[in-house]
Amino acid sequence: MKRFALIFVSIAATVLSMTSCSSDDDDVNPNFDESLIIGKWKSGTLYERYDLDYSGATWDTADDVTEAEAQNFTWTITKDQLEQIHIIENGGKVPKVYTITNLTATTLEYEDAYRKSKSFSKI
Amino acid sequence: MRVLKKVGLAFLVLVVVLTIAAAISLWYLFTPEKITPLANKQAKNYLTCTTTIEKVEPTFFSTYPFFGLELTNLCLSESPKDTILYSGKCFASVDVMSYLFDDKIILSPFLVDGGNVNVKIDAQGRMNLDVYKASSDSKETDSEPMSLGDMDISNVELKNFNATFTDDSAKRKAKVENLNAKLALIYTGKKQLVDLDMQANSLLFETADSMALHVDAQGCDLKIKTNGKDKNLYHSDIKLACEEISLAMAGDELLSQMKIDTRLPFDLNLSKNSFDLQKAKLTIKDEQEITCSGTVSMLKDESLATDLQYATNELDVEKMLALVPKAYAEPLQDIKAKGLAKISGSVKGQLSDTSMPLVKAKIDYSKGEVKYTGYPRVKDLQCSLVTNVDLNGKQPSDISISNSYARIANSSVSVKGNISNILESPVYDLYTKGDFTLVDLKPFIPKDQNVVLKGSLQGNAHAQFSQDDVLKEKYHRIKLSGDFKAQDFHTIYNDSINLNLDTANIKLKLPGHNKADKDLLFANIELDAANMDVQLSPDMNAATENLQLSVKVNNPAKGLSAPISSCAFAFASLRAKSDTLSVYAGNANGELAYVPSLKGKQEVALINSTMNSEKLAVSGKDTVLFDTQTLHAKTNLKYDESQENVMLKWQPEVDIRFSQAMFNLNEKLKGQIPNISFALNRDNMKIEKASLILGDSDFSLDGELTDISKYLKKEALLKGKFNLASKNTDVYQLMDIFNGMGSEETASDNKEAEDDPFMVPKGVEIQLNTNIDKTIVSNNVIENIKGGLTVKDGTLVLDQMGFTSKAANMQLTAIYRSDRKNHLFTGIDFHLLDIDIAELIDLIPTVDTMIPMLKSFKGKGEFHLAGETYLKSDYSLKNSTIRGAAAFQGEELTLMDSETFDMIASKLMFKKKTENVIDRLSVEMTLYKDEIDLYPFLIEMDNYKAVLSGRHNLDNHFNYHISVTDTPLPVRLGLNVSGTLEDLDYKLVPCKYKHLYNPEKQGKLEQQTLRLKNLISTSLKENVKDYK
Repeated sequence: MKRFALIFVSIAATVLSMTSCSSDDDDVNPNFDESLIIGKWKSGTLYERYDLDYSGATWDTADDVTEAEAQNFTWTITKDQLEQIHIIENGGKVPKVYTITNLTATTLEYEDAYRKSKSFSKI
Repeated sequence: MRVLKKVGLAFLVLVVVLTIAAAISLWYLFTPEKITPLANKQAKNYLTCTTTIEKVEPTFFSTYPFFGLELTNLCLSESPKDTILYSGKCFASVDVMSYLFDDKIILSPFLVDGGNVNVKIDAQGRMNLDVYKASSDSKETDSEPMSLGDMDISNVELKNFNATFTDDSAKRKAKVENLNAKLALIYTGKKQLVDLDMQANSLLFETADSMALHVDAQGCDLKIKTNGKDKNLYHSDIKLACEEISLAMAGDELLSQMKIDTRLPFDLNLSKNSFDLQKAKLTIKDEQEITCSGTVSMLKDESLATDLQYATNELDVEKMLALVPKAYAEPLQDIKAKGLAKISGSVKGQLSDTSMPLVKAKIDYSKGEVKYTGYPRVKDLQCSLVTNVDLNGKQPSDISISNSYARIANSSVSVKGNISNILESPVYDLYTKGDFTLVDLKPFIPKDQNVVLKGSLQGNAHAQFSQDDVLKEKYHRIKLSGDFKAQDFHTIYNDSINLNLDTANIKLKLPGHNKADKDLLFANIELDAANMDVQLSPDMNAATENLQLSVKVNNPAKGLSAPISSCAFAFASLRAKSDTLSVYAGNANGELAYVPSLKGKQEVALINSTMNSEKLAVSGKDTVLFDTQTLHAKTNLKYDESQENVMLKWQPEVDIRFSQAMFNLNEKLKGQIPNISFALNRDNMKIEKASLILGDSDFSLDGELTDISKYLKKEALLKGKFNLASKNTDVYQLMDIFNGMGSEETASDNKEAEDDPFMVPKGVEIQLNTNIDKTIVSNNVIENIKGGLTVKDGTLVLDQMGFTSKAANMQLTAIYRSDRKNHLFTGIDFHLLDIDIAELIDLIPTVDTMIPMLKSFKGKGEFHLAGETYLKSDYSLKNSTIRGAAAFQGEELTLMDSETFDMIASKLMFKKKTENVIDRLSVEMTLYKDEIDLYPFLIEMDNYKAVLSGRHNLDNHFNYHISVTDTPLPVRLGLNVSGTLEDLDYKLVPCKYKHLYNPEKQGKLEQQTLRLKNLISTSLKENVKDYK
């Protein structure tokens, strides 16, 4: 019993010491100019292309894929959230959400919810 | 004639000289001393040459009433060395009174003993015998027609007389040696007689012109007897015999020392100008006889009317051939012929510059034997034929063979019939009958052909054709029919190809046509063989029973390489073997046809075939590979050489049906084909029905393939629609059967095989609608499989394939596209409705990898999965192209007890029950490259609510989060679970999804999460057929 109480107190203290379940951070998120993303970007052998009509494509030359063979997606940018909806040819969609950390005329950097980031340069 | 004239003139001169001598003798008391000088002197007055008479002795009283003169050593010469005429003793007596008063010439006797005459004509045509001096009187005499009265020269005799004649202008030379002749010539009103009995040791006649004629006769005996019944009708009998006569022309010896004996009896009718021959005979070497009789008369137009019959005795062919001049004997060098030939016939009709008589000949050849070097002896030759020749063309000229026969060893052949129009283009109408022992034909086969023939062949044939037909290659005009029977026929070609026929009937027929129409039959060959055995090599042979073949060959058309032909066949059985593969066909019949035609200048061949068989079996070394009870196969191939594509080049039309078939290709690939029926033409292929039983699976296929020609011409896609039905399909068994099939030989080339991926045909659009009642996949029974399999222009689509199993109702759409070898696309759209989780994982083990926590639940739900990726040529994944989304929804699921759950429950202070039921579960997840993202989903269990989310990578590293959003406890805890299944790390963290399922407190992030979850779920369910 003593042991259970000790654990309970520890957990309670931990929980109380932390914030409760995550809250919105809408107000602090920066806005990025989505026009800057239009164009073709390269990160090593990985390429992404963002078109004006909010369509896009991605390909990786390391896998012997050319731009003409690229896979399509649609994209939107809301504040710093870059949302890619990858389209599966015979049905199904694969959303990927990234947080843009840097977007300039020449640089695009984003990371996902698991802190996996990518850095592109404009070509 | 000129020579005869000169000789006659000389003779007349001699008579004149004698007459003058007689007259002078009368005047000078008939003493030789007085007469001889006077005769020599007078001779000089009348003759231009030197004339010497040693002695002239007249007789009158001893020869009364004849006046006679005897000249001794009479010599006429141009020079001392050039004697024209010499006579040692010459005596002549003339009935002077008859000559003076009755105008009769009666000369008897007239004797020349030991005389020589040398007659010469120089290059300018001057004759040395022309010694009579011309005078005005003589000219007058010459100009008047000579008129002689009765003549009686009944005792003229020449003894030991020699004569030579040389004509330099005509390059001719003649010589007579030791001529003895007796002549009686009586020509009076009451009697006409010529009796000549002449012998000469040697006769020679030569010309030095281009003809180079040389006649040399030895021991000649000529007898001429002519009696006139009156001055119009004479009977003559001429006999000429030569012990040796030789004849050469242009250097070629035509006759060599041949003994001849000729007799020519005939009646001469001067008023009718006719000769009536009475069995004239020519005998050669006392053996070969030719007789001739009949009438020859000269008509007013100087043409000859003939009506002659001729005949030979039985000529010895061997001796006759020996008479053939050497110049012409070379072609006969290798031939030795024997036998007896008898020739008889007639010559009848008018002979003139414009007309020839009709010639008939009957030839009988018997006991013949011919041996040609290098060939077997032909024996028992017999031939009997009659020939009619009308060079005028008014009557048919033909040869009628009534009988002919020849035997070679044990073979024989006979021919009869008629050969007409022999002067222009012979037309043959022949009947032949043969009985051949084939081994006898071996010598007639070219030596470079290694052929062995045995057995026998009997038959007869009837042929009608003209020589023009053959020479001008108008073979379509040939009419022929033959009927042959082969017995124990055996042939070996090149020591390897064997053909055996125990008995066979062969019929050959050429109907013959006036025109070479390609649609008309040229030849028909029928073969009826009880047993035929063919061996092409030690490992390849075929045998038939009751084989019937009928081969039709149509007339060849201009510009075509082969004649139009067809072959109909029927047999009771056919057994063929090649190496370890053998074929058996029973009670089969069919037809093959080759029909070429012209498309412009290009040949287009049409090959048609049909075959019906009650039984067909193909066997391997120890097993029957294929066996069918009934088979119908019809194949039409139209070969167009101008096309490049093999299908357009052949343009096949195929109609195949068979039933009750079984196959046993190996231990696994064996089954039955209850029936199959399909037809193929240049535009479409229609499968009426195709049934197949393979292992525990059965299939039935029907449908149609269209636009084949347009596809081949690259004008359209190749389209096809097929229906595949099956009552039962054992997928794993089928995979086991076909696994590795065909790869044994290329096992060492695996790398090459990997780099040669399956490329979906482009330009085709094939739809396969499946209807499978039941299939077994890894012990799972799947039922009611319905859907389509489509191949369209480089893409293979398994389209909305719906089926049910014990685990779920399923629907599958799969795509395989081969854009290029190192860029192969594959994608699936997979839906499992009313799924049993445990059986799902059993059915698709990959699900456990994608949603590892799923195996912790028990119950039913629905699962949706869509994904795609590109593959390399070795089928390895291109990770950068992997896309996928999945959703699982279930209700009243039971959370299974497990070590992991125990750990989670203890961490989050779940109340552990014996059975933890989850009311509702809705899971969405995505796969992007190597990232599997599990979107937050809610688990409700008793009084607990928890939200689970996270990511794990394809390398099985986890990063999950569990938020406890409802609990009886006062705290809301979160737990991060990371690591691998073997090494999980648990970490209590703040609750991350406290308000996710609380609409009132949801923020934008929660809304975005739910929106994306809905996007995933909705997009997946859009393709579910009849989804409720």
